[in-house]
Amino acid sequence: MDLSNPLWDLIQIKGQITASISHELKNCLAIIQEKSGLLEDLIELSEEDNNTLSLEKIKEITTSIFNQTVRANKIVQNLNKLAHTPDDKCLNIDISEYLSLSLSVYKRIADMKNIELTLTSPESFQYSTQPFIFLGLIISILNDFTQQEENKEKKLSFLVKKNKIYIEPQIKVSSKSEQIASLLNITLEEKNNTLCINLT
Amino acid sequence: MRVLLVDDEQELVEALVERLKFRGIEADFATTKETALKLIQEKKYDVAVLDMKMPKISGLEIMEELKKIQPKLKIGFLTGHGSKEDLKECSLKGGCFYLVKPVDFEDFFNKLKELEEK
Repeated sequence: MDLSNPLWDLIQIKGQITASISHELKNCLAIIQEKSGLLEDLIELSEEDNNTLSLEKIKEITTSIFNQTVRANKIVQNLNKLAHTPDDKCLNIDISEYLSLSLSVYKRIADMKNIELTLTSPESFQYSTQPFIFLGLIISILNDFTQQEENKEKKLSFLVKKNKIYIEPQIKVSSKSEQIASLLNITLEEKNNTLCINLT
Repeated sequence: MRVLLVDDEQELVEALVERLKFRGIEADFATTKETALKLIQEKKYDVAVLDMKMPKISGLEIMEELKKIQPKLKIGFLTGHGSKEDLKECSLKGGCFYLVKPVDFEDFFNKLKELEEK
């Protein structure tokens, strides 16, 4: 089987991201499960001891459960957007919106390496591309950065300016990222401590 | 029995600690390696239950550091991943149990009781 095709890299990236998302969802579910279990324990104890349950404690637990459902809902919304990225062969997308989605779904992986991701997009820029491959390109570039040991505990910033995305500090781009970029006819340019993605 | 839970999800470990205390198990939690090391230098624990993947550090790395301070400490792992590779690595490195989140609390409690009886 020939696995040198960049589409294989994109499939791997999708697997990496969905695994990370499922991990985050499991954390939300675990908190909801333990908080509701704690509530059950408190009810049982109050019945045994004939004590009144603290309303403050109940409020604290229900607020925590509610907050976890909000967190889980945001994660599922991102998962849904991600799932629909292969729907169209070509789509006019808002670059900032898709960059934001890419950084959101990558956040846990970056957190594990203590890398802070920031996005600045002073203006909206529309671009016709294949969203799944575009997202895969951004994730592949993020992987290039996080896999380099010297980049642990660093900040990585994205700036959208007209038809260019500037990433600082400069990243040593892998051949995988180059190949994915070539599928979209996008060029990557490394200069002045910046990686520039040219959306032409 | 005294248990130390180490996981970056604070709300999760807070709830687990409270539930264990209701069942007569002394428990503390840490959300970072630094706090875990501080606690283990202050108190003697029978078991440490570690998240496999935390920011900056893995559960296996934390295990090594904790065992340098308390070599007889028994270790269990909690994980959101549940891959066969993780399970194999935990067993090879001396983990006593490995549970996938969200865990069944009774299973978790029983694993701790089994360790207490060993």
